[in-house]
Amino acid sequence: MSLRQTLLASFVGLIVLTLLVFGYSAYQIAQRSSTDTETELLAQLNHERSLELATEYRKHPALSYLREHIGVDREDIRVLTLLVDQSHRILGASSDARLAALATDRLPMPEGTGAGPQTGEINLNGQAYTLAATSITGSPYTLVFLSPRGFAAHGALSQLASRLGVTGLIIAWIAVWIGLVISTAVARRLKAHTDKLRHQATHDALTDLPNRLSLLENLNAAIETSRESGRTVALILMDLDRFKDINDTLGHDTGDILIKQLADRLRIRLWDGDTVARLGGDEFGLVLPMASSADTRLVVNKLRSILAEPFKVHNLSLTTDASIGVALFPAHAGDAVSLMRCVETAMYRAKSTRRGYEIYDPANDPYSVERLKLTADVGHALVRGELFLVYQPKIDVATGNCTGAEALLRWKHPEHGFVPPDKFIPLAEQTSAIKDITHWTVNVAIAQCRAWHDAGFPLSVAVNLSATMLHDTSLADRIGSLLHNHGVAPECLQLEITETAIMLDRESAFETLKALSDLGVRLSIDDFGTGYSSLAYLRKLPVSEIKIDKSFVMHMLDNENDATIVYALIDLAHRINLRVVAEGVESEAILAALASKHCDESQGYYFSRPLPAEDFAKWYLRAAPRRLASA
Amino acid sequence: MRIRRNVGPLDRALRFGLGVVFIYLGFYDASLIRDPLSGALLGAMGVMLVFIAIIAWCPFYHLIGFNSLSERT
Repeated sequence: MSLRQTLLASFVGLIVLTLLVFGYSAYQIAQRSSTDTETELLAQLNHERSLELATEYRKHPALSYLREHIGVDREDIRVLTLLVDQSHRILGASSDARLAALATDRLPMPEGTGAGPQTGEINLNGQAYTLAATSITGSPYTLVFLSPRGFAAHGALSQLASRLGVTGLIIAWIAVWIGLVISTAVARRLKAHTDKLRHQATHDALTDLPNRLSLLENLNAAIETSRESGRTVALILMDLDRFKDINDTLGHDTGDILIKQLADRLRIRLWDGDTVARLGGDEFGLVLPMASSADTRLVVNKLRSILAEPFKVHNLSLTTDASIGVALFPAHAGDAVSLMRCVETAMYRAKSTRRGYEIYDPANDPYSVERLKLTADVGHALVRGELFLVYQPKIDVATGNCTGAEALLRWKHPEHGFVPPDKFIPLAEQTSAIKDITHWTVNVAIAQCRAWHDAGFPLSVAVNLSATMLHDTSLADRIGSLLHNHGVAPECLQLEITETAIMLDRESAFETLKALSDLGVRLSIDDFGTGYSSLAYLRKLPVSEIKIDKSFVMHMLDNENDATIVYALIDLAHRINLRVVAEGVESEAILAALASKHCDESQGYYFSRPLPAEDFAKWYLRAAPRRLASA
Repeated sequence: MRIRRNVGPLDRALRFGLGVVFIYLGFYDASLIRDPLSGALLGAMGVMLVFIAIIAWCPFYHLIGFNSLSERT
């Protein structure tokens, strides 16, 4: 039952109750007063009649005369009349002799002649009677009147009843209407209050835009509709760049004014069907129900044009930029909460790449379900034996001899097949799995090196080292003990580290590299030229070799700039006494060009693709004599 | 301003019937209600009910924003 109905019902109930109480007490009062009235009336009648009879009796002093004249003829009252003597004998009666017989000995008698009427009540045959008796002056007789109780009440009560009934009806009718009006007014006021509270709960106080809660509600609704219609729902998240700077420099009130102006622009300039919400601080969210990718792009462009106009705050012209993330239902997530997470990821990516606008891409999402699953799988890959190493030969450019091989890690996933290292190594780096994987890789590579030495191949082995491993202070000790266990000389192991990895944390990188170098292990900088590094710093590192990234080498014959870079790097490395390895050698012409610039070693598909250990041995046996011969 | 009807057909019929009974009891037949004042009040109520039933617009409904007419318009 609604509040309004409850109010109305209780109001009407109260009125009915009041009417009942009022009616009952009125009835009681009326009855009591009518009893008094009727006794009085009867006594008066009785008295008057006895006076009349006394006069008659003086003229005709005969009992028979009295007997014939005691009757009273009244319309409104039914009166039984009796004539009794002093010994209670009934000498005459108006009617109903049986009743008279019953009454005989119970009639009260007036004391002495001429006394006022005696009144009382008497019960005859279960009926209450009012009684009045007066002695007839000048005679030995008494005149008695009996009247059934309630004769007078009838008229008064029926009048009362009808008046009470009609007024009651009218009052109840008015009461119902007043109840309706009051309950409506109360319900209206309550509703207004609830609406206000709801507005406060679902809207942002500063801008009066919907808040996060409201956005999620709208998003849920849009998703529900979309499930039926199959249309795409776009969720856009916009976060102002460097808004904190505005707050810190110009004060929070300035920041607030800017946010307000922005909110007004958004409200006015965007389409009505789209929800614009302020999610807090400088973050705004938009829900576009039934959006095509063109619509979404249009809205994003509109957002950027809105932001491009400067904001006028306290006579200052402020400009701000925003990072915008976009996620789509059902393409990116199956529910509102997940979509919200996706759009946040996209927005943060937009912020970190400084591109300003980014559509969600599961591949870039560190928390996407596939990625999480893959991360868990990486942890188990080692135990399940899904990892293995392949080897790519390194060739001495001057002699054509194979001097060693770079060990490369491969993962054969039971479901996804081969997963490239640049995809799974970052996942392993997020967990402790990278430690075990590195240890395993180095161990297998050293064991392979031992096997080559035993087979009479004078080869060294190179292993790539992850950036995270440079923080591992125990790395040098562990590698030392592995070399010792397999009886392999430290010079036969080469560790390759990218320049970016070294620059990430210079101090701990330096410590680890120093420890490895002290061990006698050769260190090499991988992918040289692609990262950001300080030559001044690199010069101090105990590194013996740089590897020029294949992206320069592969196109050096077609692209003059690449060639210039390669030659300059070779020259640079030689001048600071570093050996140079060129990766990505795919043709004899490239090899010849490198040889002409005295590049030390080379690696690439021209010689061989990375091979499993057995195939590598076969390749070595086939190729080594030929190379030696050609030298 | 054109008055918009707000009393539905069943509502009108009930009001009309009740109004006629009230007028009859109030003004024409004193056997049930002998008191003339009560009769007059009841009769007046009857007149009002019949009047509302005829014009199909109830001021109280209007006041509380209720409508017994089906919302087809």
